[in-house]
Amino acid sequence: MEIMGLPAKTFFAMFTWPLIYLAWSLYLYWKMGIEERSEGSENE
Amino acid sequence: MSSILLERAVFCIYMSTLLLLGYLGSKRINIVDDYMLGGRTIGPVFTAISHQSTAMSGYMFMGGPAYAYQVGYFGLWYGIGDGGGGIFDLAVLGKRMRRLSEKLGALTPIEYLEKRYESPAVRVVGAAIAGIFLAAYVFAQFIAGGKALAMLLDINYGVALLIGLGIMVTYTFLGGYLTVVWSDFMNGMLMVCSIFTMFILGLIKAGGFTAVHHKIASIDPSYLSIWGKDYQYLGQWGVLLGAVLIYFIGYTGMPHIIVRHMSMKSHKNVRPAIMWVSIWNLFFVYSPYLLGIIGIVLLPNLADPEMIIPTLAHSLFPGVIAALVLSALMAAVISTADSQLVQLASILSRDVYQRFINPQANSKQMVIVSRLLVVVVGIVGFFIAYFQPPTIFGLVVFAWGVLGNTFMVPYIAAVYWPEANKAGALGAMIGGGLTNIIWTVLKLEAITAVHPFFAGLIVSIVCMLIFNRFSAGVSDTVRTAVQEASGGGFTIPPKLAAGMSKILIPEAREVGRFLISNRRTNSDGLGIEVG
Repeated sequence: MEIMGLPAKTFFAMFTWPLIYLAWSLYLYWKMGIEERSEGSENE
Repeated sequence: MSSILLERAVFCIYMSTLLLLGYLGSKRINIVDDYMLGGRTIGPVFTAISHQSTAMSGYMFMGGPAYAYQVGYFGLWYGIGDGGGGIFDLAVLGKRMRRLSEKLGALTPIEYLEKRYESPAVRVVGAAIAGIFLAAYVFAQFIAGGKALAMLLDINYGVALLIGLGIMVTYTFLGGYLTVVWSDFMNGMLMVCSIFTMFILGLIKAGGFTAVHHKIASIDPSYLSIWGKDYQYLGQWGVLLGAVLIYFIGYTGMPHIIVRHMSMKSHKNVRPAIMWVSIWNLFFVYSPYLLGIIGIVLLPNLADPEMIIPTLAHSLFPGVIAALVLSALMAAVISTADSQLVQLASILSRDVYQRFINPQANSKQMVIVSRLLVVVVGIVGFFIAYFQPPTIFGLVVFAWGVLGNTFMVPYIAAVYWPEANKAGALGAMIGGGLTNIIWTVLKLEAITAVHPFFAGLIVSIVCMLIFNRFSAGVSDTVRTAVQEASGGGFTIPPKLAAGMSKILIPEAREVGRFLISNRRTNSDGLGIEVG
């Protein structure tokens, strides 16, 4: 099977990573936000 | 205006801006903390962009596209590693290193190691390895910069080297770390805008992704494989994993990159910085490799593959775009080289001069010494770059690998393992760095199908665990500082690490025997074939 002329294996192996990284950074942003809010409330 | 005049005009504006930043930075230098860490005042956007532009050297404009041009989609594995490297580094080390470095009062990443592991030997070994390989790395950048500038201005290589180095040394001399971060931000924005524009225009010129892939398949379908041209790495997961890991986790061992954690205004900068890094990477890190692949179609008979981007810029996009792309190539070189230059000078002044030669040097004297060392490194670098121009790719990959394998495990253990001590750190540094060198020089990748970086990483982790048993524990002060720097997060429990080291000792012995016996049979012309 081909996607845009590229073997599907290569396409998924190469082009899913940018989406994974984006999702990962959004998760970290959310997680660190929760940690910082709890840090802030502890300090108060 | 003719093309060359336009390019010269754009370049002159660019270089003048760098000098202006140097002048502005110099107004804010009062003490040595300002010169080496920008007074720990750097915000999240500048931290993120300078972190990434420092990590992305001239290799991204020359060696990277050339590699993809030669091996096809396999080259993109390096881009994939790079895509997550900045996020991994900030997520794993960012907050903890920022907190711990301030608690320990460290100004350089090597001084940080000495204070964390409470051992001058760690500093001596660290400064020696960082000094040698940062120097090799920065000299490779000088060569790339000289080549790029000679082409951009259509002048002699030596003159180009003199102009490029002269300007870089001048603004680094004046403004130190703060100017380096400002210029890295400007360079980072120039790099991402120009390379992504070029990628889109190149793709349009080649007829889109589908057309590019069909044309490549008609030349050689193995270019489109994940295993490289002619399926040269087929089934070699150790090589593939090494190609990804070298940039994915390698950042955490680069003194000139992780110093960005130490210079942040607050540990809370890490959160927005991760998002900035992620967005910047999305538009930058894959484009050079994809341009290399597009180059297979657009420039099938290119004599020097390292010239793909300059040739595409000149032949396809004359005028302002070409001038901007070529300035971006210089920006990539400069953003890495200036960070290495200021870091090298900081290590030499703080970790060698003040630590071992003149401990009484005051803050003002240290600023002067650091500035002088910037000039000395610049002069030495000029002569080395002028007389011994090696291939960029080989040098950068070698230097990156050795630095990563030397420092990565000690830096991570420093903040995640409160019981990690000097013997473990020294074992990890020497074992990891040495393995990378031996693996590369003896070409053990061909025998074992394991990338030198992957081998160095494993040896470094094993050495950390094993050697940690041969030294007294850490002081209560350091243990408490590490636990506080973790912010209540995960740290490795003492029993887990002790148990792992007991298991690993016999395993390490077996691996050593295997390698020695294979080297012998191979050198006799028997046994395993070298690929």
